[in-house]
Order: sequence, then structure tokens, then C-alpha cells
Amino acid sequence: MSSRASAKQVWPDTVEQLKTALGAQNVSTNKLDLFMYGRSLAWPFLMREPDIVVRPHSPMDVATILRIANRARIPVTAKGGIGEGASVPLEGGILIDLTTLNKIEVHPEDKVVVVEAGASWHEMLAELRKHDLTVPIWPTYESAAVCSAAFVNPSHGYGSTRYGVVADLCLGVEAALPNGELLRVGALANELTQYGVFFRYPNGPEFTGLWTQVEGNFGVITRLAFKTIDFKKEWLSTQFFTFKRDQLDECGKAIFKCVRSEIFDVHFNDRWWVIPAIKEGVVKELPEDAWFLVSIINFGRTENELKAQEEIALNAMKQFGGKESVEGAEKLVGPTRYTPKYESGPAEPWPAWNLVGHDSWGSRNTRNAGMWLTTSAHFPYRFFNDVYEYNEKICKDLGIWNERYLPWHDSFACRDSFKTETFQIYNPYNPNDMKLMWAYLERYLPLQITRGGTFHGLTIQFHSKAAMEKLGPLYEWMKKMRDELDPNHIMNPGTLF
Amino acid sequence: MTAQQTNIQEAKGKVTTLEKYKRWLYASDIHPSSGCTACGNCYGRGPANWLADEHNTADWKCVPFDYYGWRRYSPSAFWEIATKNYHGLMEIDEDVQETLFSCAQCGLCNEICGVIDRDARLSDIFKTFRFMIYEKMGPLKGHEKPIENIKKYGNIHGIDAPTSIWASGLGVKMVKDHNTETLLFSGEDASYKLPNVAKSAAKVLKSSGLDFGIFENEVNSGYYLEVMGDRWGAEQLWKKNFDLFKKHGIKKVVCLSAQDYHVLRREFGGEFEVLHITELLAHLISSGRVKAGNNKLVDGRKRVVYHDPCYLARQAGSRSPRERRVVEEPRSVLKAVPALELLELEKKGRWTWCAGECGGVKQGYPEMASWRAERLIEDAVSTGAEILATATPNEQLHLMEVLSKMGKKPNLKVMDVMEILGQSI
Repeated sequence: MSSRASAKQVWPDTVEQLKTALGAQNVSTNKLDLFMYGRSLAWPFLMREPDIVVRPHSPMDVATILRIANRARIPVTAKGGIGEGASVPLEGGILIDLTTLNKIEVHPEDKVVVVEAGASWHEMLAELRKHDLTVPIWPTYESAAVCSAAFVNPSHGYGSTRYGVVADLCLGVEAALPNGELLRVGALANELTQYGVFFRYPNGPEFTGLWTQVEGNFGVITRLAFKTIDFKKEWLSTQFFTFKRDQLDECGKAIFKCVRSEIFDVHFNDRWWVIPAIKEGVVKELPEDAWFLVSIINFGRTENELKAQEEIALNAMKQFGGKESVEGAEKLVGPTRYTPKYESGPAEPWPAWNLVGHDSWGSRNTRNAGMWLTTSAHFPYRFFNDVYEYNEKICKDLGIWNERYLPWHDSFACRDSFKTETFQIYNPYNPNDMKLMWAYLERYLPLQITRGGTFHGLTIQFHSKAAMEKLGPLYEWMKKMRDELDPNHIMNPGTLF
Repeated sequence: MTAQQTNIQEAKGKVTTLEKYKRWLYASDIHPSSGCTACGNCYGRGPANWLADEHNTADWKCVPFDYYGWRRYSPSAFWEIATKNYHGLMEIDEDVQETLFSCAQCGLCNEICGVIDRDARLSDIFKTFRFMIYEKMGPLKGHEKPIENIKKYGNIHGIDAPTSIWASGLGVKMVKDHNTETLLFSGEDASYKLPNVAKSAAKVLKSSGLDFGIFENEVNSGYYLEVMGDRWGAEQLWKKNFDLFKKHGIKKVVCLSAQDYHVLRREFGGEFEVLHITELLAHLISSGRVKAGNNKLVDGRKRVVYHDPCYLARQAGSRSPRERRVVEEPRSVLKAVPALELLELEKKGRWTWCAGECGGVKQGYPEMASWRAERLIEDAVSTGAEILATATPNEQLHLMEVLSKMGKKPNLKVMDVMEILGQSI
């Protein structure tokens, strides 16, 4: 164990070393930069400013930054484009803005894409579309969300019902270690051979998974490889179903049936989610008693395949009493197979699926309500009802189960788990709202632990102790590994350990 | 209190506040109220909608962010700093001034951000916050002289001559001598620096038989004063223009500059019909009153790429985001010229990228302004174009100045749409 230096004690020297290594234009101590890089989606709850911000332009730059930081024992936090709690520099120090590390190489012949850590997921998907390829998980965050964060999180997204989480599609990782080495694992270990990047499992143990959920504690990921599949957006179509409030159990069963049938994507919301769209006239009408909303995206490469997928989903939903709404599908999710000529219609027939991207559903909710607090956790499907009912009870107890706080559910039916996101919309500058949000977190988060929930985003900062300690001996093993890789404990201290 | 009442009250005290934008600044006394969530879409490197077929903002988001790369030069930062200031949590100082005035007012953030909509624009919040900064700190370094010039000479260049100087000997009618309802508003750049644009416009309008006149000496539109933070100076100019238009019975104002057009239409749109010259010409062409001949263009060039000015493609004299766009009209004018082949930039229409002239950045951040213009010129050259066409003399002048200083000069000529059309008449 070793004590970390206060960055402020050593920073003049360190700043000079960093400027020499990276160029002065890539090192900032400007107070507004420090302020902006201290922000994240968790800013109302967790805001810490770094002392220095740096921009690497190559993996070797990252390794150099770590070597300098390690020598001076200054904490290091890596940040992508958005950041939730895990990229907040809890002890200050050096913050690495990874977004300048953004090269993308597509290898259609191996159906592989190799990206630098700060390339955005949107950018990668847009690049892959030029080759009619995709990595078939499409997280809902913005164009700033970077590939390494999506892997580490590990993010889910549209497509997770069939394909799991982003990390499941990762073939290999390259990371800079605190001692300044670059380590390649998985398929990237073979990058310099004649056969190259194609298979996650080289000889010997496979370490790619070691870099998931690590929150930068072992090093900083610099590059990743993902597998891709053939894709055209014309191969997608959507469906939309509604259930009444007293059909929660049936709704859960219908969703699980679709999961077992490997439908491409099944998404669960409740009526709070759609109220702003109704108010703004985006959706003319949904049945008044429609409370639970199930959005389905089908993915079939032929008309028959698409039709078969639709039939499976339709039967599952109808079997348990769901009502189909074509208008809901077209206005809230995307074109259906029956939307006339959607492929040659206006420039953007598909709405942005981002949370607050332009023209997206989330932007409506945000502008009509405010900042969101979200919790994000994976549960076994058998807790579907339990989690919903418990969340509603807490919200009712706190007086936030209403339009003012728009406490919507936004859940991804993933391949291996039900991933629930609860939302509360609040005003971060209103002290009473902040009290309510803290009270909500204090009551809701313990439930996640008892139901097997794993933590993502801002929640990991608040509950690392409880969440990590439930791992028992494994947590102790992680600490030993961290001592080996990061003996000075400079890597993102305060997050996992 | 309505926004207009707030304005009037503020004007009496000569103090600007962000009060009328509080709905977008997390004001805690109203609901709903929202603001920046720190989602990063306005600086993230990737398209806002990756499923969209058009190439939307994949690698360009905001002029200063794209140039400096630091997050403090992003709409998210401008918004957050303004919000913090509104809540009394961040003081205005030199850092804040230097950061906020780097915004080119190009309005791309209004296309990208999904939160703000309908009744306000992000760029207007930033502009209003700049009024407050100006009121506390005075002009930004680099803006002193232009502001002084506008106040003393009525133009940013400091030229002591009437704006009608370009029309000397052309027989263009003066409004004061001629009873006309249509005013051709040439603006300071076409009047003094690029007279050929104004001459071409007059030639084309004359060929249509349209009755129009010009002022012997126009009152400045106030665009630069407004974006440089001198709100009260700009408002004085708007009042002078308004009174002048009324006095002479003007009903229709036709602007050559997109910047002038935006400001005058936004301020007077309800009282006068304010048009950009390309809007009028598109109409005159479609109705057969203007016919382009088959003349060869300058130096035998024929491949023309059109760059959408931000103030036509995004702002267009409106007060709300995505409300109006003048995108098709300039293209209609160019397409009417048989001798040319019209090409397109990747960054076009609503996703057009600022040429680096607007918002006072040319004067306050000249290196950034040149950098941006150079990139645009490179983009234009990469299309195979021989002529880069614009529809605002302000941008044209900036692009010509930058082009003339580029080390390896591309074989490209920068022209206004009016000059191109004028050659074919």
C-alpha cells in the first residue's frame, strides 16, 4: 500500500512534464475546463473537479500519462464523452479526456471493427453502416458516449434482447497500465500476427472480461475490438403493445416469452414515459387505461424472417392480453413493416433513439420535466413484478409518483437479465427536489442489492462498498490484483476500492 | 410577465438579465423548467442520429469546440455557465468572457440539442448572457474598434462614405427621390468591400422590371453590435431603421446579407416583409420575370458548390429553433443558370458549418475564424468545385481574405449567388 500525493503539491512539475510529453495544447489547468470535466450525468449528486486535464492522441500517449502520474503518485481518472459517477475524479488529480483517441478501423473481411477507446459508439455505428455492418447493440445515450465506456459499463441497448450486453460482443482489449506498459488481451493479443484480430480466445487464459466494470482501476483502456454482423436499417420493423395497470404479471410473462424466442429487442416502459409525447401531440391517442408499454424492434434480413419475428412477438403479446398500437410503434419507436415507403421518405424516418438527442423521445421528456436521476440494474426476470411494485410504492410514499416528477420506467429486456432503469425527473437547483431524490436513492438502492442487481452509472459511486462486499472472497482477490497492477493506487481511487 | 414586458423593463434600467430564459435555466420557481443535462451530444464525436441517412454532425458540433477541443468551448459549457450565473453560483470574469464570446452564434447547437425547443434558442441564451458580460466587462479585446466604427461611421470597416457608393453612375433609384415600397438593403460589406454583389443584384432586379430603391445612406442593421454584446447600441439602430422604413413607406426590405436579413426580419418581420435576395429571386425566376442566359461563367468555370450561410439555413429571421430555413431558394437561383453544374458540400442545409465570419469571432478570434474558413475552402475544393458560392457578402469577404492568404492557393473562386446570376443575365 502506498499513499497518493496531493496533486496540488506536485502539479507544477507534473504539468510541465505532461506538456513536454503531449504538447502544451493538450494539457489544461483552466478553471472552466476543470469545472466542465468535473461534470457528468451524475453532477447534481457528485461533482469533483480534476486538477489537470489532458488529451491523448494515441495509446502511447495514455501510457506516457500513466507513467508520469505513477511516478508522482497522482490520481488518474479516464473520462469519455458523457460520464456518470465512475468518471468523476473523486480525489482530483489528472483527468484523461479520451475523446481525442477516436480512430476507427473497419475490417469487413473479418467482420471486425477495431476502435480507439474514445471513439463514440454512434460514430462507430455510422462508420459501420458504410459497410452495411453493425455491432448489434445500440445504447440509448448520446453521440458523446464512447466505446470503452460502453464496454466497461457494460452497456445494454436496443438489440440486447438477442445479443446481451456490449461486452459480450467484445473480442479484445488494449489497455495502458500504471507502469506505462500497453497490454493487449483477447483477439488484440494477436494483432501483429499474420492472422490478426479475429478470435477472442487466444492460447492460455482469456483476460478481456477482466476489463469490464473495472472503472479504470487496473489501467486505462485504449483500444477495443468488436465483432459485427450484416445490417441494413430496412431490415428493421417495430411493434408496440399496451397493457393495463392490473396486467403487470401478464406483461412480464409476455416479455419473457419474447426473450426466450430471441426477438431482437423488447423494451418496457410505463405511461409516465409517454405523457410528454401525448401532451406535445406526437401520439394522438393511446387507450386511456394503457399503463404498461412494450416496444419491439424486429430484425430480419428477408421479408419472411421479419414476418416470422413479428408473428412470434404478436402471439406472445396477445397470449397475455397485450393490445397492439401501430400508431404507437410509428410515432414512438420507428417505422413498422406497414409504414408506407419509409425507406425513401423524409431524411430521418427513424427517430433518434438517444435519451436527449435531437428529435428523440427523451428530449421531449427532458424539456417537459427537467434533469433525470436514473438507476440502472440487472435483475433476474422473476423479480419483474416485485421491482416495479416496490419502486411505485417508494415513489408514492415520497410524493413523486406524479407528472411533476415523471417517474418512468425504461427497461431493457436483455438476453440474460431484466435491466431496469427507473427515472425521476427533478430540478437539480431545487433543494427540496434534491432531498427527495436522495431519499429515493436511499430507499431504492438497497433493494437492488437484495434482488441481485448489479450497478451501473452513478450508482456505483454511492454503493461500491455494499455492492462489492457482497462478492466476498472475490472482492479480496480483486484488491490483490489491483495491488499488483497499481501498487500506488493512483487509478480512479474511491470507485471500487 | 411576458418576454416583451421583461425586455421593456430591462431596457429602462439598461440591465440585461437571463430572466426571460429561466424556463431553460432550471429556475426553481416554475415548472416545467429544464436545462443542460450534460448529455454531451453537442460536443460528442458522432452523429446525433446514427440511423439518419444524411450526414449529420458526425465530426462537427460547434465552431470553438471543434477548433480548441476543450469542453469549456462547447454549448454545454456556455449553457452551464449561464445557468450557474443565473443561480448566483458563478461570477462573470475574463475567463467567462473569453469562453462565451468564442461562440460563433452559428446555431448548430439548436439543431443538435434535443432539450431546448419551441420558444427559445440556445444561441439566444448565450447571446443574452453576452449582453450581461458586455455590460459588466465592456467589449471583448478585438471588438472595441469594430464597435467604435459602427457607432462613428455606421459600418464595421470604419469607412466614412455613404452606403450607396456602390451605385454611383448605375441609375439605381434613391428611396428619398422615388416613391417605392421595396428597399434593397445592401449592407456594409456589399456596399464598401464587394460592390459587385450589390451591382449584380441591382442589375438582376432591374431586368425583372421590379420597382425598387436604395437608401443614400443605410442605417447599420445592428447585427455586429448585437453579437458583440452591445445590446442597447443595437436596439438604437433597430429603432432608427424602423423609423426610417416607416417614414419612407417601405413595405418590403430585400437584404443581400444573411446576417442583416436575420436581424431585420426577426425584429421587423411582423411590420415589414423582410426577404433575403435569394427568396425574392427564386420567386421572380419561377414566375418567369428573371431569365438567365447561357453565358459562360467567369474564366470559363462551371462547377459551383453552394455553402449555406448559417443565418439562412438555420436561423432565417426567426425566433425559434428549426422554425424557418432558406435552403432551397439559393439553389433554385443557381439552378436557373444553365452554364453551371451545381455541387453539394457534405455539410449542407441545416447541418451547414459556419464559415468562421459570424458572431464576432472573425474580430475576436481571428485564428479560429481563419481555420474554419480554410476547412470550408478545402471541403469545397474536395467536391471538384471551381466556384464556391455563398449568399451573404459577409462570408464571401471573409472567405476571399482567407483564400488570398492560404499558402497553397486552391484554384477556387469565391462568389455571391447574385454575381453568378448577374453574369448570366
